[in-house]
Amino acid sequence: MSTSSQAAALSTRLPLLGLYPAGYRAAHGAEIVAVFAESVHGADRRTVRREWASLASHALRLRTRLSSRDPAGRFLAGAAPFLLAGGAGLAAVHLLLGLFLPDQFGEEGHPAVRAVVGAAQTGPWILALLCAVLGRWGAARALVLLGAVIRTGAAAAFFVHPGWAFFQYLPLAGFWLLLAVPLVLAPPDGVDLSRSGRAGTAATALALALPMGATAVLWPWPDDGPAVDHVFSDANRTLLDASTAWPAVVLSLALLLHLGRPGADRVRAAGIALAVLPWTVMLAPPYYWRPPFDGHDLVRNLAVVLGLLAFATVLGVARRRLAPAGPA
Amino acid sequence: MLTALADAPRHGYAIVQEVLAISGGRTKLLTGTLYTALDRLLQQGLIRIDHEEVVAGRMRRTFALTDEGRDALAEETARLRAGVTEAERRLALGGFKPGARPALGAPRIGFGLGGGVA
Repeated sequence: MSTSSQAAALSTRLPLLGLYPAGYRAAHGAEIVAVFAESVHGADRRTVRREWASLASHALRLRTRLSSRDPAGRFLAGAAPFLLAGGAGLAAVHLLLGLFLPDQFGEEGHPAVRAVVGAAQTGPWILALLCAVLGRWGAARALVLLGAVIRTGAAAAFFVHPGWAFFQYLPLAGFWLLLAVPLVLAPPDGVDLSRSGRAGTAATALALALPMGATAVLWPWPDDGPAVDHVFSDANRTLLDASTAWPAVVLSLALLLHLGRPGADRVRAAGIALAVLPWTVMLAPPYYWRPPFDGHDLVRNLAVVLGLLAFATVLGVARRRLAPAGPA
Repeated sequence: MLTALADAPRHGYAIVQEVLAISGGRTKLLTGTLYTALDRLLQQGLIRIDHEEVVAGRMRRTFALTDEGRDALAEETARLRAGVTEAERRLALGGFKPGARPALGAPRIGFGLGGGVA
């Protein structure tokens, strides 16, 4: 009996095997079935369920080419820590605004309710960053998923009852999904959880959150009326406009540092570039909740982001090429 | 997993058993996790297929470390050893002797340059 026919016969005994791509199933299906059978032999129901789930996850990742051995998986795994760093940084800024400056955003609902809703929408991202820095990527991923569900739910609830959501977060619902979806799809075992990788994630988040948080909190907010109605002077407006590119600058710097390393993985580098793209929205300080509603602004922002990426790529590659070769 | 393959090539279920033994029963690799890791380590060139054989009518691969995998494991071992050495040095400076628990109420030995207890 050939290997493929053996696998076909076994797939009737383990239907889950059908989830694997045909080539992989033919080559390794029988072996996987054998290991699976030995692993579940005498095991309790919980262990058996976990075995089934892990096998289904492995098969689906191979089927969708999102495993850590596939370029698409490595691409997303390269992006994931930086998507998290950006999301957690912005979440921290929003949490600061929601907790310390609740009156700057109108008077919808009770301030305590606004604080709770704000914390529920931002907290999971901040906790996810902490988990990632501690090396617990599985927990980080689950928290990001929770955060995305809460945000999407809150945005959807707004259409039912405007008092149920922070209205200022509504325009950003899509932006948060842009951060969360690739992060959740990234293969966990492909994410760089080395000490330097985790330090890089934390440093990126801090580099985003500290200046943006300081701008939001220390900004000379008007004494009366909602801040959204405030008109800035031309000089302040120019300064604020220029600072909107800050997250893209920080993440482009992360790309440059990655490319400068010896043996840098190009696919991962492309993933970091992917993590920069959502920041094309260039949220307007000092609120950081208003994306550009004008198509022209969006195109201009995209040109700036692509320019930063091109500059970081050229500089990073040149830096690596010019670096003295190590010992043979 | 690299440690599980350091002394000899092993097939899939033997790796699961070896990791369980090395971790003192704390880490039980699930089948999907095992093959996810094997696929990635093969792709990274840290392990290779040593040989394939048919056992009870089923094809079985046996995996072994490559030279790169051996280097990566040695590098990680050195890093861990450096951490252990430093932890032991600091414990010694604090008056801790391996295998001996300090008595309750015993005076603490202060930290000082070169003043640790050997």
